[in-house]
Amino acid sequence: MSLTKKKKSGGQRLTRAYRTKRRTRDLDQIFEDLQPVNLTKLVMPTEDPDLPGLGQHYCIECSRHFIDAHTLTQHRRTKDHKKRVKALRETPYSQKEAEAAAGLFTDNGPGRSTKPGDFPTLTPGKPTVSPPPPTAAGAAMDLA
Amino acid sequence: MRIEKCYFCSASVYPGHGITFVRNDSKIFRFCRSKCHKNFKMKRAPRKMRWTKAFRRAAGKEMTIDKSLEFEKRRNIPVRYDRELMATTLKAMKRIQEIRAKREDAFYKNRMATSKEFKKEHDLREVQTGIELVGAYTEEAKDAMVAVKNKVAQKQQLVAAAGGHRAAARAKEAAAGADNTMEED
Amino acid sequence: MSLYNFKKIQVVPSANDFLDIILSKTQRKTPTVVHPNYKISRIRQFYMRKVKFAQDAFEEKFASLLEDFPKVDSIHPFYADLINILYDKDHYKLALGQLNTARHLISSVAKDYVRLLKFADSLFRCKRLKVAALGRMGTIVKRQKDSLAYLEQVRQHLARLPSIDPNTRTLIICGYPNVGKSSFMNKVTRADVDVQPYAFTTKSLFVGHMDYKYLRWQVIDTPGILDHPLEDRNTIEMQSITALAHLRACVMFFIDLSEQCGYSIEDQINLFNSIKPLFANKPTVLVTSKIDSARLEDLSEDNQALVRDILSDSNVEMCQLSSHTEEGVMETRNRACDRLLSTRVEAKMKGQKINDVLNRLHLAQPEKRGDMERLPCIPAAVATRVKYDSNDPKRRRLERDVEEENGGAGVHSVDLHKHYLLRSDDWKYDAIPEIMNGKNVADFVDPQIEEQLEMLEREEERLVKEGFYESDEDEDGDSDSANGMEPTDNARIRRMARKIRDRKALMNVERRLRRSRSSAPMPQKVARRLATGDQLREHLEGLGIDEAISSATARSRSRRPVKRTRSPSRAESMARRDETSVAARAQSVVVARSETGVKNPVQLKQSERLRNVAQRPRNLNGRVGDADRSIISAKPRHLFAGKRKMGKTDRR
Repeated sequence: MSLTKKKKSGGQRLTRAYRTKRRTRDLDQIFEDLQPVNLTKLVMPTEDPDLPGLGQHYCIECSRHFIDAHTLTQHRRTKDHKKRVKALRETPYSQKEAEAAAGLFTDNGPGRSTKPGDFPTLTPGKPTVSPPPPTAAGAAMDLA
Repeated sequence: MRIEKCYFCSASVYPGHGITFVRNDSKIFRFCRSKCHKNFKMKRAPRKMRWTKAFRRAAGKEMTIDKSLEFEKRRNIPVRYDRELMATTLKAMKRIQEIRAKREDAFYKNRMATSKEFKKEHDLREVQTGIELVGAYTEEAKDAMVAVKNKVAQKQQLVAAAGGHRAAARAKEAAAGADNTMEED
Repeated sequence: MSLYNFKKIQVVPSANDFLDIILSKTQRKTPTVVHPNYKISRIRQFYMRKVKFAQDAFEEKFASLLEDFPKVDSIHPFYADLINILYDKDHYKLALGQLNTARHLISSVAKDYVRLLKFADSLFRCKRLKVAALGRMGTIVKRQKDSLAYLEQVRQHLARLPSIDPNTRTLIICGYPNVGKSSFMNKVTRADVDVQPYAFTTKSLFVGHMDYKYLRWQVIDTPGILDHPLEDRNTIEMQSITALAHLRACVMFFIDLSEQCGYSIEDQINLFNSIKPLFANKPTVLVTSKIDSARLEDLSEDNQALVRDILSDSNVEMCQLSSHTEEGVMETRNRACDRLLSTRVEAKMKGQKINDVLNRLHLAQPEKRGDMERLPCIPAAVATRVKYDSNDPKRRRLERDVEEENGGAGVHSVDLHKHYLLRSDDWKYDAIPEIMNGKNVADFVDPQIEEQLEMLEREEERLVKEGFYESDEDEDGDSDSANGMEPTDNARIRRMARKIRDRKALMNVERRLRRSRSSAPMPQKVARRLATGDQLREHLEGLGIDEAISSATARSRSRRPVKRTRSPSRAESMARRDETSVAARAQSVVVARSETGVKNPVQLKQSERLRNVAQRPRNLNGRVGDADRSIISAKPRHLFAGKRKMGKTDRR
């Protein structure tokens, strides 16, 4: 039985909210795709008759299939594509970053833990440090 | 049972609250409320929404580097239970939270310090241009106009004396530095 | 699963059924309505489609039949020979060939008639051509009546053939009739072959399966063979010969030494010798059956010599068994199986394929290092362990015992805490806090927390000392006016600025309201003339201008000469009249019915309630009211809908 026929049981609103049929790839997934390890698989795709253009003309950044090479090149010239490429240049947002923003870091032992300075900032150079760095006198007191 | 952090806004998600989305690559996304869930479905970038912690952190609106922040960590290295350690931990938690709140307060004040001058300037301009709107003949208004005149005069004096407000500030800073060195001595 | 499964061949219909199937299919699946006033191209197309469809249906049916039946040349020679013996290869091939030609004939007929249909000039002509085409196709099929009937019989027989896999491990049981072949078969496998005390009880091949050495074995029971030349053998015997000739299997030749079967030992030995060429390169076992009545030792010298003579050949081995007493049955079987297995392995070793497997095989064996003796090590705890015995009162107490004592399964819940490894046993049952003040306790647990906190405290101390937390607020005094002190310049300016902002906001709201009004705007000139002195005064007072000044302003304004010679007092009185004009025009003001005769709001509310109550039963009945939509005269649909090609809207 399809999801749409089950309307009565869960309520239509709920099923619609959970529907993931048309879900497109998220930015972090595409970022993963662009890693050299995964890239080779996507650059030389096998023929799939269910996909547009047999799945031969795929824009990795936008995770879209095109019917031929011409439309693909045309797509590469669009604003949407360029925007996407630009967005993919920085490290994708993650749960780790969300936690770090709330002051929760990760401790996986030395060398593998997240630290406050690990995540990108919009205004590099602007101080986010609360107390002033210890002066010589202060440091002396710390040691005492 | 633990308090999780919202993927979008980094708010705390208490057990039994919010919604969890598991993507087909088995990655888990937790949301504190429908607002965050909807925004996620719209594929918005949390770093660009001004109301999220991620934005505030990235834009330097939150204290991020501080000693008091180094205590709370998701610890993936298990530690065997110890009653004494637990007791000290609980005590420490309270103290850490106190200190953190205090420092965040100070950070906020520090951040707002520059805006105060700006606000004063703005007020002055408002009174200069719009006094007719509330009537320039009341006692209050007259007092205010006198105050404005005083201020303007002061400013001109400063400009004349030190060749600009900025120079004056710089001078002040230099003086403070001198103080510090004296202290060290 | 056998490769050769003839059970799935579809039923071959008789010629008449064949025709019925195709014609009804054509009728069902092609359009049926055609009119003489259609365009001729459409009519032609209609009939061409029918002819072509019938042809397609015929072709499809024939093709599937030809596909289903096994092709004698391309199947295993055993089956090819079997088909030859049972159904006569020539006859079989001829029948299939005829079907194939019929198929081609039908397609050429269809092609011809489609070509003719292209030039047909009327519906009638088209129809005749179609009838002729289908008729000719039908004739072709009817001519195949005999082939179809024959093939149907073949199909039925094929479906009942045992599914013999020609390539697997196989034992073939053969010998004179009535020597106990089927009895052995019944003993060894689970097949239930008919056993009767007369010759030729078994009239065809039978297959049984058994397991030996964890392998699946196929046992084929063949009909008895008599000793005469190949040409004289009947169909039943030929089946045995086919099996012997083509299957690479272990042959078990049965001999009845007691001669109860009705054939002498000499005859049986002769048969063995005459069909010996079929046993070449096959492991052969000479089985003497019925040893409960006669053994080899009991025979006369001559007969013994005959049997021994056979055994002199290295390829032949002898076994003795009695299906009656079951003596030697299993040994015979095992011997036969082992021999077949060894020959198969040998054959494989000689083949090319074996190299692929051998390359991959490697048997690792540890090399001896030094002279040290390396005995198996058994830990002392294991060696001294007492075997658990549930009856022993001093046995180890298991979790199961604990469970039984505490109410059994479903009642008792297992105590997991007691196995905790902690520094002190008292801590085992501690309630461990998980959440405190909105934080996970686990996130703070750190063995070094005390030192870390110490460092933080020291830093804090330093910061307090350095005056980091002392703010320089209140330098302009937010609250100084509240203290009763003289407000500073900054405070004054701030307060004024706030007031101005409030005023601006208010003006904005007013402007928006003015813009959204529904009546026509009054020209500003008129509005100014009509403005009363009170309004002006109010406005000026709001601005902080003295009342005296404001009233003076009002007077001076009213005194100002106006362009039109209209006295100011008149203007004022007109303005006044305008204010009261609503009351003066009371007659023309329309008042809602529900509000007439109502003195005050309380009465109005009451009347509304009464009206609603009175309305309630009518609402409940759901009667038709004035407000309901109704179509008074429903015209038939064709009069106001659809195309108007001929006739008018109201008369068609």
